[in-house]
Amino acid sequence: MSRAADATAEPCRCDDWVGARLQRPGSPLHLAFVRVVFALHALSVLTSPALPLSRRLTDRPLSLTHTLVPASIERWLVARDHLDLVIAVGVIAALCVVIGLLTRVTLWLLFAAFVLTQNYFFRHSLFHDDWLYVDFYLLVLCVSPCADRLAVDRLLRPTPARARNAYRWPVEVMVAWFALVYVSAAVAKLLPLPRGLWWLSGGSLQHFAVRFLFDSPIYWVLGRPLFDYSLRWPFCIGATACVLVELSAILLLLTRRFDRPVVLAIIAMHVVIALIGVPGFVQIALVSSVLFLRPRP
Amino acid sequence: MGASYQTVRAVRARHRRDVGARGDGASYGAGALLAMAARVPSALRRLIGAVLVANALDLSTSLLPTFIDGNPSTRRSPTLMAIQLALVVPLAALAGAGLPRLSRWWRALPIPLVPRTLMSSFLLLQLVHVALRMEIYPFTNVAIFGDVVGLPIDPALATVTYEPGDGRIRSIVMAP
Repeated sequence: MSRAADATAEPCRCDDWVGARLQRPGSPLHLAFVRVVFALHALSVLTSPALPLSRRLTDRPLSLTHTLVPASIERWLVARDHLDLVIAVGVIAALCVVIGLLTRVTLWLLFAAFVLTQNYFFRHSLFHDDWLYVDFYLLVLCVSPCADRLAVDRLLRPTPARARNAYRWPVEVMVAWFALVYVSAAVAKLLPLPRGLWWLSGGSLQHFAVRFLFDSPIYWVLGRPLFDYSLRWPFCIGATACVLVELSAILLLLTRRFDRPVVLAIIAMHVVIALIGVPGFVQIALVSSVLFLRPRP
Repeated sequence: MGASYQTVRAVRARHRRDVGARGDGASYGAGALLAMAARVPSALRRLIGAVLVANALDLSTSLLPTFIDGNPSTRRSPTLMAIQLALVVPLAALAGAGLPRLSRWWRALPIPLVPRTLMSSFLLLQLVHVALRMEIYPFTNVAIFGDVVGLPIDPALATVTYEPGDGRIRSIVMAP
């Protein structure tokens, strides 16, 4: 589909920084590496015990969650062992994507299985984890030439001719999504403005730390909170720092100069959040950071 | 600095070209607005743009009730609401005037058509969810960790009460 279009891609008439970034030559090896890492991450998510656990805890979706997935598909998924079937399809598809076998088909299968299983997870747990990032990453991989290296497919068929930026735009688009996630999180914290003031006061973060205390590695090690959690000012500093780190993701869109400090700051933020008791995002941030290994410029 | 200035005539000519020289009142107004904006130094223009966008987002993010927001937002006074709505008008006019350029820019992006359409649709829907503070899987405003106070409302979940003392936890009560 996009393969033919890649070869005949029009020369760019964008003379702004977005166009300039998208038309830079990319690395087929880097894009293939991104495919392998993201597929391994999807594999770890699909095989995690979280899904079977949430299935045992409750058999009905939480009323606060909403989804675009049709109700008929959701009903089909929970009926008998269809969820296990979808997970199995997803696991096989992820393995095929890792080795680059029938990548065009298996990527779409993985995408479908991932979206469905994450929908189930979200609807039954209210948690935002991998789907926030990986749904879009997989969609981009589905429509990009990500199996031109590190793939069994290439042993069977030679690599077709591609436009010079065919390996670059998928990475730049995924970087843009990564930045958008964090900027959206900052917007959600700061707006509407009265709510932003409440966030910056540290009250939300304080409640967050208390609510997840028993899940916190700090509590496991020390047997008590790191400091008196009834004090507000440390949380005020933390909340402000959190928003600043999230807003700094805008720099990822504008320049490459600050890639390293911004990504490291985001990973550090997730490490602190993990110490407070929500560990899931460290792995996602580390996995996403492979996007930033792209060649210069 | 001089490069950031453009003549009013050039900007209006470009706008006429963008909108196809329809010459209707709204188009003329937007063109005049663009021309005025072009006379403002770029740094100030960006600052004004950021304020207008923040104002619009402040309004749009409080349009819909969200379960995440355990503490309801305070109501705006009519005067403040009127000012905020008035500030939305120039932004909407500028956005309308910029649509033809945006359309041309989107078509010129060096990405094949099918991926460009798919990814743009996904991105656009995500932006709408952020702007309206909505969450419908697989789109989200990423607000879930923005106000945890209101998080455990669903009866299937439990709440935790914290009673601090001497820097230690005295008790945590799980209440259904």
